[in-house]
Amino acid sequence: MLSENWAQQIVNVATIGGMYTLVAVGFTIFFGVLGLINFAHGEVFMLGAFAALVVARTLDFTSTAGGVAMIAAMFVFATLFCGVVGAAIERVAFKPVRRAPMLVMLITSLGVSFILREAVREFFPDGANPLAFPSPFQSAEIRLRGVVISDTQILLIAASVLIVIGLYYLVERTWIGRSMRAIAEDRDAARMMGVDVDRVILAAFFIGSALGGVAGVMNGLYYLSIRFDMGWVMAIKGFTAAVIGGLGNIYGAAAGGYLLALLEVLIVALVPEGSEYKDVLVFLVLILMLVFRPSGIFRQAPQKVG
Amino acid sequence: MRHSKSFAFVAAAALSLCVTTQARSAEYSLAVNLPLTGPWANYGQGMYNSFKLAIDQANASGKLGKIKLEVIAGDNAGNTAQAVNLTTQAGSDPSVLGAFCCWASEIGIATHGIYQRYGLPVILGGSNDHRSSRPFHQDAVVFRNSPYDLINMKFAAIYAADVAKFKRIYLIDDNSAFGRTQVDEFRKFAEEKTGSGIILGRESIAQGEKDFTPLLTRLEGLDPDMIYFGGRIIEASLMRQQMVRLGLNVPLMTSGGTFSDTYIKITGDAANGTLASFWGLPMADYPHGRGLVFEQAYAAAKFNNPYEAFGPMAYATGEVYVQAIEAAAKAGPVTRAAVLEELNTREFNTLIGDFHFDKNGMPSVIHIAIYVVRDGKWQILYQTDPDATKLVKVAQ
Repeated sequence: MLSENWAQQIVNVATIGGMYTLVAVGFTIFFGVLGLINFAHGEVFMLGAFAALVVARTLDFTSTAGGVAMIAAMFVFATLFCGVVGAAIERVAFKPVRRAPMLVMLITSLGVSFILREAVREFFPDGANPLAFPSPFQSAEIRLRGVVISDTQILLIAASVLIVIGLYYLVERTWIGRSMRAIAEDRDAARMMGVDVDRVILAAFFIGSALGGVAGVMNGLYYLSIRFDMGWVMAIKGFTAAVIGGLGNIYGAAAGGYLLALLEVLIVALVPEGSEYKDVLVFLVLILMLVFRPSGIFRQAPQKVG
Repeated sequence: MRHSKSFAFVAAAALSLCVTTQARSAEYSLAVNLPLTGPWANYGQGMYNSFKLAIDQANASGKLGKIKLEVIAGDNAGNTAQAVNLTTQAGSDPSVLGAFCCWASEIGIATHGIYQRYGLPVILGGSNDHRSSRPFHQDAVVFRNSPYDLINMKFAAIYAADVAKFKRIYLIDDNSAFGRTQVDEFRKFAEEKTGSGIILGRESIAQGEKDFTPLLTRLEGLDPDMIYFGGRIIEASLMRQQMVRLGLNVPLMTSGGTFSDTYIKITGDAANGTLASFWGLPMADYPHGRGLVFEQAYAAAKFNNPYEAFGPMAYATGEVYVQAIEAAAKAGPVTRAAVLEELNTREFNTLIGDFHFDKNGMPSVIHIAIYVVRDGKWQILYQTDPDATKLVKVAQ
């Protein structure tokens, strides 16, 4: 019989894994179409949370129905906003260096990351401070014996699963997905076959960044506070999850997210003073993966974006 | 003709350079080395604004005569390497008479020796780790505007072990120099009081981490009656929210890294029950109503950020420099050595009280108070007596 403590830890794995997955799928899309490790994705995730906060402050609903409408509005606005920001970043920052060595693109992504982070700190009202994130969900919790799960956690886990399924559908069954796969395979050949490469890459950045926006809103709703520098750690975790699963592989991103979360929880739950070494062990796994299995746990990727 | 034009241009340029240099040398400056951006910008901005307010007021009042003090805004971004560069820049700038640094303990530890090398007086704000202070090094230019952790943690432990009589305390730090030393000292003093049985265990978390539910789930099984966290605001806030969500309804005790209205704002109702030991008083409790006067002046200045928990001490630091420079100017040439001499010998009248620096650069006035969050506000429970020997209950 599973103890209450361990049952709660399983809920913790599902929640943390869901969050990592939401960020990791963005990394996997960018890598799939452009071979780019886009560290600015962490800041787009942060922008999603701030965009949702603007909506929440503007629409101050108090009733339950109003709360649901507010959350819907937060998701819609943050998703569109981040999608547009991501597309703009692609056009302004990445397109001009698309044919440059990969290191140039990597450094560009770091530069964009700094600019976005410090812009929010400087220009968002009270942006240097951690900010409370409003949520009508915060009081609703389900308690089964000693195990607690909130409706935000359920939403987060469901969102991560639905997004992975939706992305699979997009990549496999739609014109844009086929175009993305074609570009990932051979960009020049895709162009010769009539694929509008620029447009597809732009669309991929819109989609990946919009998903970063969803992750940012979920992060705000679950942790109830946001800050201008929240993106960096999540970017590192999302990137690690994507590498573990296999960069460019959507299912891999999900598997990597949940595996990373499982690893973190096991270390904390089983190893005395394990919290201190959690990140060390996680990044050790990252290094081992890069050295011994750089294509991730799914060597033969079942469904690749790239 | 062409040559004479060139000559005239060069001469004019040289002349303007002389004028600029002369104008610059007539001014004096104070170098700030604080986290104005980065993860601790909320504290750094509040400290910078408060410090600058004191200097601006002195400049406007004319009490410094012909001297106009300039505040050089150095942003260390919470980064030690950046802070070291700022320290070197300030040290090599002859117009700089004194510095105000660092907020983060690790930066105080990294920079005190550099300030000493340049003979540049520095007053530490925050930087609670004792290793940045005398007598733990011999750098005679280093002063503090608040007591260090050895004093603060002693009273935190007295409260936890003697007053509140917690018996099963779990310790968590944020793996920073500040957090680790806070927890080390808290543990030392608590075990001195009651023996080693009071501490159930210890963990370190990483700064920037957001999810502590795996750790807190494990701690639930250990049945602690208090969790002490040596760390900073965002992690403390998340930890408290997650404790409440998981039903781990025991007090979370923290210190100066968390004592802030921002903590309450972002933690919401879950903040209630949080304890903190802090080296400051409620604004209304500072002597002669100076806290309230500062509060009004800060509001009137319309800064973009609140003054935060360290604002009053930062303002007092500005007052200290103004009074030291004013006295130095009356006695002779205004130099770093003259300012240092005044810091070592004068009594200062400031917002936080009238005090002098002792032989280790520590202020002679010490306020340490134990606060709890009740009804969404930090409320003072205990404060040290005037000689800082014991905790005295504060009437509610």
